Amino acid sequence: MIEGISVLEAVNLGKRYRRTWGLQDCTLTIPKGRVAALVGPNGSGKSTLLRMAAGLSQPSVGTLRVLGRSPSPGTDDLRERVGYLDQDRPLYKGFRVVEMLRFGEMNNPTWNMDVAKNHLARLDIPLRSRVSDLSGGQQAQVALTLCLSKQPELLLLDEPGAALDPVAREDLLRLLMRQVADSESSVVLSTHALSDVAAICDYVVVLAHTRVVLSDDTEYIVETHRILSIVDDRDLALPPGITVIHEQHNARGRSLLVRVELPFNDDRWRVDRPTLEEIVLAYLRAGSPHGDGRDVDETEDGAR
Amino acid sequence: MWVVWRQQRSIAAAFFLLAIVVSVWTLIMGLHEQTLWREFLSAPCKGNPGGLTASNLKDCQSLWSSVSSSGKLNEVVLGIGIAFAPLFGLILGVNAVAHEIEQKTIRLAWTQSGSRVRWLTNKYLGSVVLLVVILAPLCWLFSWWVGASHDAARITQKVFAISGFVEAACGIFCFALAVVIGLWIRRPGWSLAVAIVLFAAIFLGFTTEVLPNLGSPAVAVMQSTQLGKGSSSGFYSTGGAPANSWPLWTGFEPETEKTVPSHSLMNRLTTNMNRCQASETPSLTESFCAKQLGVTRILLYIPGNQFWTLQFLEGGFYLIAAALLAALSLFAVRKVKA
Repeated sequence: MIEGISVLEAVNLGKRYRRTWGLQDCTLTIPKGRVAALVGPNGSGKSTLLRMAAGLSQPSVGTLRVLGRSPSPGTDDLRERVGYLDQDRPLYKGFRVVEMLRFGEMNNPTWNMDVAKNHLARLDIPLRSRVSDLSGGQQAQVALTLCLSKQPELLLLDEPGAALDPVAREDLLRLLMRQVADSESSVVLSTHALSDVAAICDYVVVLAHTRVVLSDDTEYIVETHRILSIVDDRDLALPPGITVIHEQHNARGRSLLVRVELPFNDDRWRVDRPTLEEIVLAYLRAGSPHGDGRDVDETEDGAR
Repeated sequence: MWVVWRQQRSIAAAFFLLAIVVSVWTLIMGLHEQTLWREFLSAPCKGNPGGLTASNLKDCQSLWSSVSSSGKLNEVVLGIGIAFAPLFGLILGVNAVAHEIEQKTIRLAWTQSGSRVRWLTNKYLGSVVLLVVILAPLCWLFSWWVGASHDAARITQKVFAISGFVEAACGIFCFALAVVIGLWIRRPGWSLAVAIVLFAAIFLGFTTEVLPNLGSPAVAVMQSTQLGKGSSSGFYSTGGAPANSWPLWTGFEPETEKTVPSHSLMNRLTTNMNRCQASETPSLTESFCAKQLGVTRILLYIPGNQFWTLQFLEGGFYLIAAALLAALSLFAVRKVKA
C-alpha cells in the first residue's frame, strides 16, 4: 500500500439537480489501497458522488480527481482503470451470462476471462443462463463479476450487497478483501450495512443531508471518539477540546458520544470506547459534526 | 460491433421475416400485374378502357375489371413499401439509445473502457449495416414491382419513394432521427411517437412541397381526350405528357408561348379564363374563351428521364440530414447524463 497517494479527491464538490442539491461542500481524500465506505441515509449523496467519480455525471461546482485525473466522458484512459457497479445493477436482460462476459471482454483491454469464469463457477451461476432468468442476487453477482474481471485499479461499488442474501454478502465481502489484497486495488463502496463497514472497511466517509460529516481512517475514528456517561449531574460542563457529536438524556442521566482530540481524564465521567457502528450512527443522527442538522428536502432525484 | 448486433438482432430478425413475407407478396403481385397487362394490351381494345366498343366489350371488360381491382391490393403493397424502411430505422434507433437509457444499461456501457463516442459510432455502423443489408434487396424488389405495375409513372409522387434507393436513405435518416430524439427524450415510447410524427411531417413536406420544385418541368399542350394510351402500368399519361413522366399541374399560356410559363402568368391566365367563362349564362365553353383570349391549356410535367436526378436529390437530402443528425448526436452524447 502506498500512502500519500489518493484514489479519490474532492474539493468543495457539489452537484445540483434542478432546485435541490444532491451533494454539496464535499471535501475529502480517500487514500490508495483502502476499502472505503460511503455511509449515509438515502438521499445523502453517496450515489451522486460515485456517479461523478465514474464519469457518468459532471459536478456542478468544485473539483473531483479520480486516480489523479478529472473524470469526464472524455477521459478514456481513466475508464480503463475504474470499475463501477451501479446500484441498479444494469445488465442486458436478454443476454446470456456468457454473452455478458463477452461484452466485458470486448469493451475492456484489461479483461481477465479466467477471473470472470472462476468467480461465476464458485457461485454456481451457469454461463448459458439468460440474465433475466437469474435471481436478483445472481444478477448482482454477474454485475460485480463484470466489474472485477476488468481488473481496475479502483472499484466504485454502489450498494454492492443490497440484493444479496447473508451468505452471498459474506462471500462478496471476502472477495472484495481478497481483491484488494491480491491486486493492490482500491475500493470505494456505498452501503447501509454498518456491520459490513466494520468488517472490511478501513476508511469511512459519512454523508448526511448531502454533506460530508466525517471522513477518516476507521482506526483513527474509533480512537478519537468516546462515550461519556454521567448520572444525576446534568449541568456538569465538559472540559475543552471535546466536540459533542450526539447527546442522549434518559432517566439515569446523560450519555454523550464525543470526539476527543486530547487524552481525556476526568473521573466524574464514565468513559467507554464506542464501536464504529455507534460512532457512525451518532453522526447520522446528528446530521452534522456540530449537531446542527438542518431539515433539508431529501427528495431523491431519479437521476441521482 | 458484436454488441450492437446482439442488441439489435431480434428487431432485425423481425423485420427480416416481415421483409420476406412482403417480398413474396410483392413478387406475386408484380408477376400477376404483368400478366394482366400483357393480356389487356394484346386485347382488341389495346389496353385502353376508353376504347371499349360493342365489338370488343366482351373481351376487354373483364380484363379491365381485373386490372382495376388489382389496384386495390397494389395500394396495400405501396403502403407497406413506404412505411417499412422508416419504421425499421425508427425502431432500431429507439432501441439503440432511448431503450438503453430507460433500462439504465447505459451506465454499464458508459463505464466500460471505450468512450461514449465510440459506443455511439458502433451503434451507427452496426445499425446502418443491418438497415442496408435488409433494405437494399427490398429496394430492388419494390423498384421492380413499380416497374411491373406502374412503370409509366415511377417518377410520380405516389411511387417515387419506393422506386429507387430513397427507401433505404429514409431508413438511415429515421435511425439517426430516433437516436437524436432518444438522447433528448430518454423514453422509448415517447421517442418513437415524436420521431414518427417528425418524420411524417418531413417526408410529406419534402414530397409535396420540395420535390416538385427540384425537377425541371416541361410543357405539353393538353389533348382533348385527356387520356393517353394504356401501358403496363394501369396508369395513363394524361393530357399528352409523354409516358413515364410526372404530371404536375395544368393551366394556360399564350398560344404563341412554347416555354415553361411562370406561376404568376399561369394564375393570371386561369383567372381570365374563369372570368370569361362566367361572363355569360349559361357559361361559355373553355375552347371558346381560350380562342377569344389567345391561350391554350397546357400541362406541366417532369420528364421521366429526370427520375435518377430526383432520386439522388431526395436520397441525398435524407443521407445528408442523417449525417448531420449523427454528428449532432456524437457531440451531444458527451453531455448527456446517465
